[in-house]
Amino acid sequence: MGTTSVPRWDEERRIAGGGRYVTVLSFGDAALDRARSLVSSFGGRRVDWIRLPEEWGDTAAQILERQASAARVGWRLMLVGPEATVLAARSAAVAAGLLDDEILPLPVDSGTRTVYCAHCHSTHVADVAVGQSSTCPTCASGLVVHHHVSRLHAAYLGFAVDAEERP
Amino acid sequence: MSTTIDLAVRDDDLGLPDRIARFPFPFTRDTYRYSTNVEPAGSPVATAAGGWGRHPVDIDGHYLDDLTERERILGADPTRFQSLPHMEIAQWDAMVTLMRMLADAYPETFALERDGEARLFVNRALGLEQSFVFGDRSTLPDPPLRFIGRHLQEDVVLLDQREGALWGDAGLVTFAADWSLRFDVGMSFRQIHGPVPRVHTEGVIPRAEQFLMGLQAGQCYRRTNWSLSVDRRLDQSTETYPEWGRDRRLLAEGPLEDVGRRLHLRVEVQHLVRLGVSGAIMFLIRTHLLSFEDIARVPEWSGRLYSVLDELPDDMADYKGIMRTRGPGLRWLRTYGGVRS
Amino acid sequence: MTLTSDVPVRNSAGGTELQLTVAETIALTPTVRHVRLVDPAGRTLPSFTPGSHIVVTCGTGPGGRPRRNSYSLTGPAFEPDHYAISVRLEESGRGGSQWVHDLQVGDRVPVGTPRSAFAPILTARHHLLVAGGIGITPILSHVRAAVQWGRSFEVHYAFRDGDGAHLDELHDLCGPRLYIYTAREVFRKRMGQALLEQPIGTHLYMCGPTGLVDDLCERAGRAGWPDARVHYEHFRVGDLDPGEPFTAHLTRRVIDVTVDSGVSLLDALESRGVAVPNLCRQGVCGECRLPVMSGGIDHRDLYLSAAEKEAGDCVMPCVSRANGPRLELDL
Repeated sequence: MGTTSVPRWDEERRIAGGGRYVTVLSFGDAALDRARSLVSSFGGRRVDWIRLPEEWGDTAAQILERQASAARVGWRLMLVGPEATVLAARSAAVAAGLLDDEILPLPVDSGTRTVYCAHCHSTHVADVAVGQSSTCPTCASGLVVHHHVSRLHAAYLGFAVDAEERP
Repeated sequence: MSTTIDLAVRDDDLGLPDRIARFPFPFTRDTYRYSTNVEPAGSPVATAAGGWGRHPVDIDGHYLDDLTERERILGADPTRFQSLPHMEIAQWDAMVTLMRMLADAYPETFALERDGEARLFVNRALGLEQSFVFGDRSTLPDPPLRFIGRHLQEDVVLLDQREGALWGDAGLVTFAADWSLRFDVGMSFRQIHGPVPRVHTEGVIPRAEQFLMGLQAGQCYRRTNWSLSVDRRLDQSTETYPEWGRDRRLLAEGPLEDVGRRLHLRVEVQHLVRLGVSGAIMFLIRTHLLSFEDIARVPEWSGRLYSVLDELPDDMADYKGIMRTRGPGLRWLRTYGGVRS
Repeated sequence: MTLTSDVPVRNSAGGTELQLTVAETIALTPTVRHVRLVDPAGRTLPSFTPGSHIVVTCGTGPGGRPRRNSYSLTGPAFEPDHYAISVRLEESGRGGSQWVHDLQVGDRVPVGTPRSAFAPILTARHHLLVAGGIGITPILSHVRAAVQWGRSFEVHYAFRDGDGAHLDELHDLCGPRLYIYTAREVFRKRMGQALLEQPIGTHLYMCGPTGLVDDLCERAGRAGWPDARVHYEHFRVGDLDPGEPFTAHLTRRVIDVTVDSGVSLLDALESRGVAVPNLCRQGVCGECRLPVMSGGIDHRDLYLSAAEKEAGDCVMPCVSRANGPRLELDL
């Protein structure tokens, strides 16, 4: 998953170009500019743009769920926002029946990541890079953030940073 | 050919005990690298100590202990069993296929009989019988994959084929070596192998995936994988890393003579089967552990193990989690294991 | 689905042959015959994925070589006690379908184990199943599985009036989920609407004549369907066209291989002792791909992408031919 904000126009054209109509979900203020230029790029095609809060939550989940239930094959979904939110939204979209080819994730640069604790199975959002550590707020384990991402959990794998050093 | 299961671990004065004779020593060369090392399943492999590999499901003297251990692990953490909703048919397919494999390999112990619409599975080793109707959940006490997990030593992963790729969408894995089924469930074959060094640039993973996707119903292949474990610890999952991680360090810091008894070569014999009805790929992982002490009883093995561990590049050793244990292993082999370096 | 090839019987990697016998034959329509094949010892047959086909050895063709046709399995998939196929008589064929129509109960029929190339997608929210003519055969096994596993589905079945095989059975299995068409324009119009109405998560499966399948594929694409949602199996009446003879020049062995009309390039190479890795022998699996140095290619396979076909530097010899007098292969 790239964290660049540089437009990936080829991929956008490929995914959006194939679709009959498009919905853009943008998350947070930092995503607005990118979302605006995306929306205006679709020419004659029907585009809806829904603005949502920066963080993934119940509201966003319900809105995405409702959009997906009403959607017909031919739909494309574009997700613009911080990486952690975009990953979560994509996971929800796939659970709602969309294929990767129908979703375009466009993360705007952000340092926060969702970390999955391998020991208590909870996730938390942390301002942390791969290879650094974060403490699990649920079980207090010190976790190292590993370069292994689950699209289903929408998170990076975190496991005990000091397991081998413990007495 | 049928084999009666002898559940007692035999120690034969005339030769090596079963646990050594039947051990699937994985190294065919003095060095080791990743490759798409798949071969057709079912043909016996002769080793310096004996042989293995006649059947895709393998029962040995640890049968009862391993099953008890699996139940203990699942009792403490049911998330070692995962299945995405669309994999119901693949679970049934895997269960019946495994029942048939057990009955074919060990007909004195297992049977799968037909009774009209129903089937009857018999496990004489456990003294259990289960009648069921294929596809009807109300006729089984557990989800199908969970059920059959009570009868075999293998871990099982089921892969769905779609969108030009394979997806690890269900599994029962209690004896993981350094990974988490719960975290990996739902990943594609390539994503699952994401953290493995070298295999992507060298094309090993895409070729393996292409090969698997071309398998037709009934085809069965196998390969081996290996690492090192401290003690006979089957559950080496990411989940329990805080419990076993320290053993790597403690072994290295402890007396050298303990290494022979405590350090084990851990070998996974993996079987890959295309299932008929669901079209899923079933991945069986059978874990075997043999101590360095036992390995040293077979000079060809100890010499080769030494050479492989000595030459293994650091990135691979790191990925396999053996950076701390290989040094002590090599020293033990030289000092007590009869290996001249 | 039917595809002919005159080839020596060959066991491809892992494939075995089953020696079955005819248990029953039924005339479903004036042109379609249904045949049930069983193991003579009464053994259960291997389970198969819905949409699978078997390669049937249909006697011998001209030249005395065994004639092999692929037919879709229509029956139950789990540990079945029989394999069932429904075969339309092809007047302009090479005799394979005639051979099936001449079968009597008790006759021996060698078949390969089932091969899956048109499987249901397990994650589909809804299955849009479309059949044209005898293309109903793999769709029928899809329907059986959909009913057994409680999947959401609908069937659109277009056929020439009087020639609709398996109608009663389909009505029983599908109830209101079955739509039948005997007028082409009605079918086209309804499918056009159907392509716009499917809930996200639907997958489209089509089996029928090339014209029907290609047309629907194109319209699905224009309606925004991603390729990964569109699955098809061709029933290619057109491909019984035996093609013009040509010469295949093998640049490394420095030999010329004559490929007669009605003989596949793969057959011709094998007759000359050139071993080519192959599996499906019908243009879907990609195993037999050969590099082409020069010469126009008549691509008849379902494996290469449009770009690969255009590049013209490789060919699938099991079904494709030269588009001209000569093809140079890097062999």
